[in-house]
Amino acid sequence: MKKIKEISKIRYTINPNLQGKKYEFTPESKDFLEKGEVFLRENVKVLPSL
Amino acid sequence: MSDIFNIEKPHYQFESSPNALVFEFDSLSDNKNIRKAVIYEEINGYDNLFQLGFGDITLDGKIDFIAVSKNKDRDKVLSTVAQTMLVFFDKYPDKMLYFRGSTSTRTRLYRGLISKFIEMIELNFKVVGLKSDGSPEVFIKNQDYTAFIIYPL
Repeated sequence: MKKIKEISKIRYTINPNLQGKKYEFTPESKDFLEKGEVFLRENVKVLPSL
Repeated sequence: MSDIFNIEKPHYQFESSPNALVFEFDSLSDNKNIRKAVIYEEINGYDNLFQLGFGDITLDGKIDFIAVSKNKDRDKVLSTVAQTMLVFFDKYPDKMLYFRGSTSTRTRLYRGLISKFIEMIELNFKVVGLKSDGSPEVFIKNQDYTAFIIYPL
């Protein structure tokens, strides 16, 4: 992979409190994630190779 | 670097977990501030695949991917999400990212943005479109897709 040179210019901070943070999802959001995985598992037989 | 990921484009300053899997930032307008979360979740059963989700953090602390914020900063929010992808891929250069819109309209929006910037995106990333039957193909401008996979070259 090419190194992303601009990474050092991105304005962000590290917040250790976010590490491993587990969010609850609204029911619709949980459904969205699950449907995404179902589409992947049931329909996508071949993934790109890295 | 591709324009959609251009760090010069207006975007919000954000916070990242040390492992670059959880991000939060504030969407600001004259009317309201909305706390946003961007999460990268490893998909069980796949070695190299993460799913991207982002949305509003509700008052009771839940994530709402479906919310329509109406904060008039869509491009700035999407640019911020794109910046988190750069941080994610800097940490995980050998992973792929799977994403789709939470509505068909949003999926079309992402397709339009990718189409607009594909020549520049492809300088650093490979974008694969997943058609409705699940078949993947190298992203073609303005083609209908159900979801996308992106990974660094």
